[in-house]
Amino acid sequence: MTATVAIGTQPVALERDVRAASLVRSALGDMPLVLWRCDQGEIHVWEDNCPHRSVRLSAGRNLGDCLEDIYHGWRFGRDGALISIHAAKGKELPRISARVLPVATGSGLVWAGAGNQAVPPTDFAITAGEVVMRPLPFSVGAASVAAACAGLEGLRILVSPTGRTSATAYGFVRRRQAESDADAARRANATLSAARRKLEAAA
Amino acid sequence: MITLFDYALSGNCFKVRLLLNWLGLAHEVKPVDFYPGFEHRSDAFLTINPLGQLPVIEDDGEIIRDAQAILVHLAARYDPRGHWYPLDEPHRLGPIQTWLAFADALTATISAARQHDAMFFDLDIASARAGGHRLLRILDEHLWFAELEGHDWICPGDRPTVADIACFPYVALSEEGGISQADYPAVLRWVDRFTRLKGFQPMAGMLPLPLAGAAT
Ligand code: FES
Repeated sequence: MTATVAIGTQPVALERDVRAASLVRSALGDMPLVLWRCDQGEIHVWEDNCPHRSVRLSAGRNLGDCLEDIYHGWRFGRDGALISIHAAKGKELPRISARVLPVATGSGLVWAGAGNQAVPPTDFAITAGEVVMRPLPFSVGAASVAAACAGLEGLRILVSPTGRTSATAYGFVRRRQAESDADAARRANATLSAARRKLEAAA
Repeated sequence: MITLFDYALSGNCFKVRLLLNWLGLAHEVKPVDFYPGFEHRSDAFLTINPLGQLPVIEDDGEIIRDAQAILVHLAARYDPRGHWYPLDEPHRLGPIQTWLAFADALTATISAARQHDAMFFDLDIASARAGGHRLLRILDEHLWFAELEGHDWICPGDRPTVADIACFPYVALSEEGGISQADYPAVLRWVDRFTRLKGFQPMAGMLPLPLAGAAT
């Protein structure tokens, strides 16, 4: 049916795939992301880069109320600000902060925005009879992915750029009569995988 | 008595050590200097394993080589409950065997890429990495749909099997071979679950342990 490239605000994960006590990796264009669900159930999306020495935060730990970097153990609270340093008990903390991105949830997806807010497009919301697909990563750019996926029957796709030559396709599939949600998701995944094989072979 | 011919930084040796420890089997470790000593190519070692590969075990005078074969041997012989290799449930063995072969393909790609990056082996690194990504895509898809059906492990069942042990090390170590895991969220969740198994000890190069007892 349709496939377009997400602009400004884009899907970065499935909501149900962001679980307590763990970390999820994703990307917003060229920016690597780390996603974590805090102990209040909220999802946080940050640049996957420690403001101390640029280690990937996603190698660290989700401690529920903060994220701990693996390298020197610095901890960053829900708002991204540094809240503790192992080696500096009692000393004043430097005022640094992880880069926090605006987040929205809707249609089973986690959305992140490049600007000041995350506003999912109104024309890309799940409707009755549709099932959320398994997100599929491509190793070609978002525009080519959208072009290749536009004609796939029963699928509505939004392509998130995850780099100059990579993108992830998110979407919904219309369930057929007497088809289970899982079967619909499998069918959509097979259709999309076939399109990916063709596109990547051509690239 | 079991003797393990072992190299500490080998993922294939690591998986055997894991199962030996999980089964609580007393064993002796004979270190083989794979790198930089290349002891696996020495005459002495080639008499033990003409393929020049690690790990090898000697069990009751019998030599067993090949990591996956060793896992099957140990589980079939020393796990009377049949958790790791359910001999009493023949319908589960085919799928397990399929993933043991998949683990071999992981060795041929991800382990090769890691040997190139960490031990300067001369090989086609681009094709090793591309092969690794191809396999991680397959595993990610498999695990994503397994989760959808309520399964946590590579083969359906309440507990992990030798299939999980066999696939785990080189998946967890892939970034050491320059193969990013960022595109494989279901794989990362499975790695996370595996590292939380009671008694799991990581090897050098793997991500740190998540907090013990944390909710999944
Ligand atoms: S690099 Fe993150 S704490 Fe030092």
